[in-house]
Order: sequence, then structure tokens, then C-alpha cells
Amino acid sequence: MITFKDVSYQYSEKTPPVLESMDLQIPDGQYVALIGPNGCGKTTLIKHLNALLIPSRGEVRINGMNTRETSCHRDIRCVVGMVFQNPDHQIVGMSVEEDVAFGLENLAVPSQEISPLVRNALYRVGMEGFEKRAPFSLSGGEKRLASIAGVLIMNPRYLALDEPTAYLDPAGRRRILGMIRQLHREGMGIIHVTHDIGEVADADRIIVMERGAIIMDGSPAEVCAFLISRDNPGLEAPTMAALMAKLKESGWDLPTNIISVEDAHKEIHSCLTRTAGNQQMEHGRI
Amino acid sequence: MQNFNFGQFTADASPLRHVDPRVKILAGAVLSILIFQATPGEIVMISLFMGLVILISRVSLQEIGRALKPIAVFAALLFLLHLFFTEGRDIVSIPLLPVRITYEGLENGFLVVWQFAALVTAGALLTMTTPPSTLVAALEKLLRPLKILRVPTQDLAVMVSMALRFVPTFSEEYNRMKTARIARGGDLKGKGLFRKLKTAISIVVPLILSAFRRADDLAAAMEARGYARGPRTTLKELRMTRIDFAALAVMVSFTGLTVMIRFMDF
Ligand SMILES: Nc1ncnc2c1ncn2[C@@H]1O[C@H](COP(=O)(O)OP(=O)(O)OP(=O)(O)O)[C@@H](O)[C@H]1O
Ligand SMILES: [Mg+2]
Repeated sequence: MITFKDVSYQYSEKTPPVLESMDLQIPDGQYVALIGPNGCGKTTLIKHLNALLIPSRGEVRINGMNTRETSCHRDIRCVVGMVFQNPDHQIVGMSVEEDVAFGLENLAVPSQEISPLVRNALYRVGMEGFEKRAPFSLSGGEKRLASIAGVLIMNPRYLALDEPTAYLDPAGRRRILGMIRQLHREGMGIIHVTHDIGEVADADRIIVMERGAIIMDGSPAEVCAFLISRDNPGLEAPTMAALMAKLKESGWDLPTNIISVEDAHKEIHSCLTRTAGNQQMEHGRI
Repeated sequence: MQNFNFGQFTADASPLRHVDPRVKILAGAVLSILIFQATPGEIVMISLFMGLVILISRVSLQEIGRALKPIAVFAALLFLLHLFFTEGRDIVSIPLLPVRITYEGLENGFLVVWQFAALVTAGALLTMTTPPSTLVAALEKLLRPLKILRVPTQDLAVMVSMALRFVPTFSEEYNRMKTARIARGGDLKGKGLFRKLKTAISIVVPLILSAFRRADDLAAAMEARGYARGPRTTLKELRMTRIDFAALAVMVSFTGLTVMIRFMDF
């Protein structure tokens, strides 16, 4: 369980707080998406999850451990793994295997135990055979996967990912998203920061942030309805929901809280069949 | 550039690749001392020995040549310096002009240049047959006694290997910035030292700034993965095997031999 109690954070005394009186609870194994416009504090928030930032006021507890206590930091970092926005700034090893091993080296795990775990972590992200490659010779997507492997190897209960699909092509994006879902199915708690609400349609919960505060917290469908009602340019409703809303305006009987293409297709299809059926019935009567 | 390796590690297939890097570093250090104070007779012996090592290592002479090329000019200067400024029996001397060449100068010049080349060759052999990460690990192990003096050897090792890891990244970034300059109409082929210097600074300064920004992120990422002061292990532990002890034995007996000859000379 991750608990934020009345958390405020300021980068310095002179600047206004980036997070303000935030209360939040994330139970084990939940898939939480975090969305919000640029600069609203998403990265700042998730850096609190593994004690990279300590709240200026209030407290953050990870499985009961207070992030304020320095002696807990190692344990906290084993509970919450963190994948940063830019993999180029995260990879520290001279080869993929050395980088993936970094976390375990820090925990002073004996050498002979590390190798098989490295292989397993690379297998989990589908990067077998990349052990000896130099990090800079990898593509953007591969770098991202390697950096995720480096976090998975520590066997965390939660994985916080900061815009994991940024700069990726559709195939790379699908690969990362598929992997996140797979990890979630295996019981891992996910905190997924993104600008594209479309890619977190199957999250358990979506949190919407604005200027350092949570302005909405609910299921994808609820958040979708909320976004349509607010119409804020920095926080766009998903394309499919917008389409459904437009169709509804023109008189079609459709729900608007739709995120994925699949759901939209299902709804439109059933609506069309209904109408077609009605027309046929009317036709038959005449 | 798929398998770009920083430094000169090229001889992946060399048998020397499998010798413990600690042994290689020690051997290199001992060899350097021997070379440094060798008499002409000894340098011949050392050269023969090194020739043998090169043969075994399967590093081509071409590659050794490539390593020696950058020092050619310096070596030539060194040679001339000794040639002209050593007192002794004249070979050529031009009256009135302060130019004279002596037998001793010739001998000295040859010896010094040969010593210099041998040193560089020894270094090249080490870096060509050892992956940089292994080299760093070995240095860390060898420096470990300094821990008593509270030198953070493990942190130093992490630092060095990270620096090595970022060399290609920075060269990439440098090239990008250069291209960006050209794209905006910047002239890189300016004549004159001043122009050249200005261009270099205009690329290097942003490069350094971006490096600092990156360092911040990197520190956070390392911390997030549990990096802290304290004991840590490494993926590849170094372990001495038979081949290492054999190499060590060869090195010890060669050193003993050289020292013995030195004493017999006396
Ligand atoms: N190291 C820092 N020092 C001072 N201010 C900072 C620092 N990092 C972020 N900020 C400020 O805090 C605010 C929130 O930044 P944050 O990176 O958390 O936003 P974000 O929601 O992740 O944005 P984005 O979507 O662009 O990644 C911004 O106004 C930013 O300028
Ligand atoms: Mg961010």
C-alpha cells in the first residue's frame, strides 16, 4: 500500500509548491494511470514514490515505511521500481547486462547469483541475446526495455513509469503497453504517467492532475466523462470519446465514456444494427 | 558501429583476452619499469620477449603500428634531441657552428626512442586485449588496499565506468550539435586559429551544460536503483585460473632473468 497524507512539495523556498496537500492511496497490485498537462507535477509526484523526493509537508508511506527515514530508503527502492522518462539518462552500464545488474550489485548480491537473474530479467522484457550490446547502440524502444529490465531485476511490488511510450513508434508503444499489462496481470502494482489517455483504457483507475492537485480520480469511464465535460485543451478527452460525443450531439444514441477503438467499434456497430433493425421493422409494417 | 567499444579493445579473439586483467596490469607495470631503466642489451631481450607476447596474443603488427603512429613525431623529436645534445665522441662536427653529432648521442637516441615505443606497445597490448569494463574492475581490485586510507575505491570504479559509458553518448551529442550548427549556416571550416577556437567553444560549452543536466538525472536514476555508499558486488567477479598463474609465472621468471643479467654485468 502506498499512502500520501497531506503531501506538499516545493523545489525551493522561493518557488510556489508543485504539489499541494495531496492525499492518495494506492493498494497493492492496482494499475493506476496518472495524467495531466505539462508541468502539473506528475514527475514530481512519482519521484516521491521511491524517496527520491521527500515531501516538504505531510508524509509518504510505502508499505508502512516513511520516506523521511533514510534508513528505509534501500527497502523502499526495492518495493517501488522507477522507470524514468528518458532512458538515456537512466542506463549506467557499459553493456546491457552490466546495466541490468546494477541494482543487484548495489544490494551486494553475490556475483554468481546475478548472472541468471540478469538473463531472466532480459527474458521478461523480450530482450534475450542483447546482453553484450553497448547501450548507445540500442534503438529507443530497446533502451526503454533495457531500462525496465534493470528495474524488474530488483523484483519490486510496484513499478512507476514516467511516460514510458514517449518517442516510440506504434509497434514499440504496443510492445511496452503489452508488457505493462502482463506485469499487472502477474500482480505488480503499476503507476503509469502518460499524456495519452487512450493507452491506459484498461487501467483500474485514472488520476487526473492539474497544477499540483488531483482534480479527478476514478475509473476510465468516469474520467472520460469528466474530461468531456471540462473541455480543457491541456487535458484532451480521448479521441474515441470525442467522436462518440459528436455523434451523440447529432442524435445517435451512444455512450460517450469510451476510450478504446474496440469499445467504440462495439458501441457504434450495435447502434447501427439496432437502427437497421428498427428500419426493417418499420419497412415490414408498411 | 554496432559493437563500438570505447578505447582500443579490438582483439576479442586474442588468447590474452582470457588472462586476468589484474595479471596483465601488473605485468604491464613491471615491464614498464624494466623498459624504463634497461641497458641497450636488456632492451633487446625485452623486445624479443614482447615480440613473443605479440605473437601469442595474435594482435597484428598493423594494429601495433596504428597504436604507435600518434607518437611518431614526438619520438622523432626525442631522437633528434638526444642526437644533438649528448656529449661524447664526435661523428660529425661542423666547426664554428654548435652542431655536433656523437656516437653516444646516436646510441642514446636509438635507446630512448626504442624504450618509448616499447612502453606504448605494452600499453596498447593491454588495452587491445582487455574490455574496458574488465579493466576498471581490475583497477578497483588492485587499488583496494587504499581503502584503509578511506579512499572510496568502489565508488571510483563506478565513476570511471560511467565516464566510459558516456563517451560514445557525448561524441554522438557533439556530432549532433555540429550538424545543428551547419544546418543553421554555421561555418565550421573557418580559417585561422581564432575562428577555429571560437567554433570549438560554441560547441563544447553547450555540450558541457547538457552533461551537467544529465548528471542530475543520472544521479536520481542511480539512487532509485539502490545506489548508495556501502558494500556492493559486481556482475563479473575476477577469478584467477590456471592460465593466469601461468602468465604470472612467466612474468616473474622473465623479470628474475633480467635482474640477474643486470647483476652479472656488474
Ligand atoms: N528540479 C526542479 N527544480 C525546480 N523546479 C522544478 C524542478 N523540476 C520540476 N520543477 C517544476 O515543477 C513543476 C512540475 O514539474 P514536473 O516535472 O513534475 O511536471 P510534469 O507533470 O512531469 O510535466 P511533463 O508532463 O512535462 O513531464 C514544473 O513547473 C517545473 O518547472
Ligand atoms: Mg514529467
